[in-house]
Amino acid sequence: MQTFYPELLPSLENTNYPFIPAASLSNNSVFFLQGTFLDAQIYAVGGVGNYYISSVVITSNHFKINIGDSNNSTLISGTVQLPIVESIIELTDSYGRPAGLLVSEPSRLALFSTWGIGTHTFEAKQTTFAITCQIPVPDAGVTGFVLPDGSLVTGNVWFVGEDGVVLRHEVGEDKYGNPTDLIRVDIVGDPLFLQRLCNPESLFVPVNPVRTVRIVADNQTFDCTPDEFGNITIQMNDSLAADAALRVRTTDVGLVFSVEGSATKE
Amino acid sequence: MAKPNFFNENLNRSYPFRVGTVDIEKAVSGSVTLVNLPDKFIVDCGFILGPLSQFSEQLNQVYLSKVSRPDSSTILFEFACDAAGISKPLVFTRHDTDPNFTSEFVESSQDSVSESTDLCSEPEWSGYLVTGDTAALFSMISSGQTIERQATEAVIEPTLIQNLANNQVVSISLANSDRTRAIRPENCPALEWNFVPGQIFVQAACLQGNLAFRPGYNCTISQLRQTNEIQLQAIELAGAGSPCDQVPIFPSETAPTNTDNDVLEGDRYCNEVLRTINGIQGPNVNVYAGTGVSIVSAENELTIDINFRDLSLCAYSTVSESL
Repeated sequence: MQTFYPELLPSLENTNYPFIPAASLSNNSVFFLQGTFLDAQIYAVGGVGNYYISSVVITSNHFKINIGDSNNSTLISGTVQLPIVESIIELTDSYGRPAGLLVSEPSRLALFSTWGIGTHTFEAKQTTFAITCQIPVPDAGVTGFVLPDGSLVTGNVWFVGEDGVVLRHEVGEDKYGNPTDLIRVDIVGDPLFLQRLCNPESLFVPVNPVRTVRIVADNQTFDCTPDEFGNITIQMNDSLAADAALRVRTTDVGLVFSVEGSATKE
Repeated sequence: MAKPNFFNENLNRSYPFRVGTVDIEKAVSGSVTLVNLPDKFIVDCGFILGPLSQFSEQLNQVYLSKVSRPDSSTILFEFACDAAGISKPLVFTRHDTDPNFTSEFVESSQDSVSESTDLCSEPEWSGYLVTGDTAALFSMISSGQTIERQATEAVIEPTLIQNLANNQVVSISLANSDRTRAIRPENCPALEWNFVPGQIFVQAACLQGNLAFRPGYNCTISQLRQTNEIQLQAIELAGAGSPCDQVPIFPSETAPTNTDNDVLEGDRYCNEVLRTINGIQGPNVNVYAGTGVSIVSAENELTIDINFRDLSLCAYSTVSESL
């Protein structure tokens, strides 16, 4: 019986697809069979197209397919663990972001077990993917933030200021005079940071500081508050007598109030 | 003979569905499900899973979940995805007047009310659908009928899915964690704020488009082109200099309601607390009584009595004497 309308993937298995018709599929040492891969879709972040398989790394427990473009020969990769059970090889970039897939079957991928352990490299003209397998990725501008530990943050990203750093949103102008969103970073400190260092909070016992020295003399009351630095000074003084007997001395052990004069005879 | 084009070929094969998941002839006794969907209904489709979709090629699938005819002139195709970040189906609409090979592009946010409240209103996913023989569609599905999917049926070919999960920054949001708030001693009334302290306070949500950093107080920002880095440094008096007032961590931040100053963290200004007396620092300042002085303390009171204790006093009379 003749099949007039073969299914898509079976119809492609005896063609170079998903590689271009001119691809040799061989590096003169090892080669891909037609139908090793049935289909492919590649959409690498930052890729410039003309994707090709740049190398296949064979180890004893997996093989890794590296795919590059004209700028980077190892832009994305997909790994197949042995024994082979998957039909879809997920492609990711160096940060683990999805970058496409290769469609095959375990029996077709078994070809790689004949290649021998090592790295098998290819040139672009040998393994370039068909243009219909290369999907443009919208230029999203910033695609991710790399943290010092190498991890990548994407999606809806939150910047959170803490420990004395305050973030604010302002609207300014770009160099063309158009309104643009600004992220303002103020570094102003956290005045009570020492208290925060006492975490957990139960370790911190707040004090009730002296805030006013109130002088009560006869019927008069004076409140003495500290200066801008928190200091207060108590001095002896008598505007009527320059040689007043009262003394206020500052010593290593504290303040001493005394009156100068002859002591009572014993 | 002219070679049939792509859509015409797809009228007679499973594509864009996986082979074996559609166009299986209905068993005589069984009910109709999507596995019985004829090939000629759908000839092409494609889907873009958004940056927040959490889609994984190894774990997730896109599939036709439902075909329904709510009225005599309309058929709805509902596609769904089992990725964690996809909560809404994509619904495509066909009318009995549509020509063959009608195509339609749909975003998940277009017909979704609840999704408009989602963060940044970013569509979870989008897709296009090209239907085949419109007349056959309406002749096979009766008005009011709905054909549901059973597990493993009507699965889309994986190469028709572009997975953009985690591959871009969708938005930037700004927030500040709370400042360290002052704690009053046990025997003092606790500080009260007219907001709940201890939270993360949002400054701006879902900033998109071109953004720029502006150095504020005590801050410098530089860009290293070689390593594609942005460096922020704390340098005293850099950027906008040093602030004259406290910088609120959210626009409406105020001082506690039961204090007599405007310190945002509820503390006291430097000139409100005694740090030294005559240069002597605390926490304890000793006050001694020397010769001629007595010091008596009560609870919060210190009486310095200059009583000439232990001092010899001159004997004199207060009575005037006549010369």
